[in-house]
Amino acid sequence: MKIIGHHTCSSNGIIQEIEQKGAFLSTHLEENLNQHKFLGSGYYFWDNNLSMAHDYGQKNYKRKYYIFEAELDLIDDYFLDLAGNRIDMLRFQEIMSKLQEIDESTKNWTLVQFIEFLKSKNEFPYRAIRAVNTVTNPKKIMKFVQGRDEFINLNPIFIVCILDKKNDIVTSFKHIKTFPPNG
Amino acid sequence: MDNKAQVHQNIMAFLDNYLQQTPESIIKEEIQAISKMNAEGVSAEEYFLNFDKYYLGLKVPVKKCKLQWQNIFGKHLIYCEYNQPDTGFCNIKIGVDITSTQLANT
Repeated sequence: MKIIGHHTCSSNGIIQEIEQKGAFLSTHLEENLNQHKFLGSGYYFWDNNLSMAHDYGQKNYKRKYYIFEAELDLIDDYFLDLAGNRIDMLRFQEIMSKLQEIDESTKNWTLVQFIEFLKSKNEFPYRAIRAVNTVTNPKKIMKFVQGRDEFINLNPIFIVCILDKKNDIVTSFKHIKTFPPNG
Repeated sequence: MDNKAQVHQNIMAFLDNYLQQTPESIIKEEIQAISKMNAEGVSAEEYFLNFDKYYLGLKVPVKKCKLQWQNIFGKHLIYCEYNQPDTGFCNIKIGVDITSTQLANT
């Protein structure tokens, strides 16, 4: 599956050099709340979501940031899709259940804790993970039909974490925006 | 079995071996080390249990939900929770692996 990914970083640095080196690694640091990553350490992208790329830059880089656009070739065998593949979700739940058999305290674990546990055992072979941030914004959902309460969200926030930059998942990485525009 | 299924089976096989061959005290220690991670975000369980509730905002009237939604998704993939008695609506949770007994109780 090929998707477009948007990556935000601070506007310190030369654009051409960043394009050559690629996305920045986000490291999950326990001791720093600002360094807690939803899917653990890795190279983070918003799945085709320029709006979220700007939002992230505004909040995290004091309104001075670059946005890069990448083409991501997500190889299915090693792509854990917790946003759009129910088989992947059910399998991950099976892993969670197995760990909960081992120790009930894992029922309180966060998603990243399950991932980091498997990584600590060298048993997390996936090269990319995708998840949906389930924030419900009333402005972004619409009813399927009148007279019923069920909604569809046509603008979900998908987060993609690439675990290893060397594995050819990121097939292009180009600067597309600087903010502020004259910055 | 496709490659992706094999990847998953390998993880499950590892967990089985880990459970059988690692001393309980070591398992406790390793689980506790991960538990101490003060990770941000919702728990994995919360993520899955509430995936459709938040993602699609599904709510249906209590009287209708069981029959309608079981027919659509199959009884093992749906869980109705009567947690909104005041409004007469219940939340629909899809993908939760529960027994038919639990379903009957709903």
